[in-house]
Amino acid sequence: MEVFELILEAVENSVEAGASHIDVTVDSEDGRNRVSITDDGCAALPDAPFDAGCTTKGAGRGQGLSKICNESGGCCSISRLEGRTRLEFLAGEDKRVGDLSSSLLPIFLFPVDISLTINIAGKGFTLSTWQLREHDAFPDRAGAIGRFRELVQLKEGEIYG
Amino acid sequence: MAKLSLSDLRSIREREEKNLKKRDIHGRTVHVVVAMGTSGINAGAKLTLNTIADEVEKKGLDNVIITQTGSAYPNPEPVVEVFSPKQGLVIYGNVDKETAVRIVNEHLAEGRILEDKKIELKEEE
Repeated sequence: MEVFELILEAVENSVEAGASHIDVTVDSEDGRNRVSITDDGCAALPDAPFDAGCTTKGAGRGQGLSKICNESGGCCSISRLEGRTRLEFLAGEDKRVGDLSSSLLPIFLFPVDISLTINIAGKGFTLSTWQLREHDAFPDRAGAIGRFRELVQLKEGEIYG
Repeated sequence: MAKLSLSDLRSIREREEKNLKKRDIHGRTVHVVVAMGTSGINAGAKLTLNTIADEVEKKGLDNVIITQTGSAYPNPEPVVEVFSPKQGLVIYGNVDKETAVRIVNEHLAEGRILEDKKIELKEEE
């Protein structure tokens, strides 16, 4: 599984918790990915958020955080401070980054403000909903989808040259 | 499978109207929604969404807007919903890459519903 599929799970969770702004940071070093997702959602935190089926969303739901916990080998935590909820987890060497443009497209289609920072071996970039709007690259329509892919490629170039 | 009730349709319409209000739709009349969520992602919804996006881009379908939503459990995922003023709401299940290409080429571009991939939404128990 790709690390961004886990991030997609986490971002969806934030959106369903009522978040309007989400910050995602991925620090990748020596094949290990440290991920942090902070949001302003206000849903109540359950007692055991990483337990499968622990949810207020109904039958068959509540699998996302449990999946993150399993995939991170239990290296995960969730906390809330001053109205901001922070989820952190580690994803190991087998959690490859994958094709960035395809991985980021579903994340940026959420109707909330997202700021995503990726640092790989000391080099990095930030991509945000605000930047996408500025470049008319919000990937929900013809034309903008192509601009989105080009923008992600350009950003990737800042890491890989 | 249970059929959609009027209240289901009303809540879907309300949800989509709310989502669309957040976007600058500029006369885009066809709305494509891909259900992601844990079960959708496990079933390959990421590839489905990217394929639809790339095909819409390739064909330059200016009247289409793409969004995503949460889980479509317990329906056969990946699930794709297409809303259009002419044909109303059509829901497709088991949308793999090949079906995603067909949805764009046949339904979105030519207005032909893929009868063999259409599903009726199953309600959560």
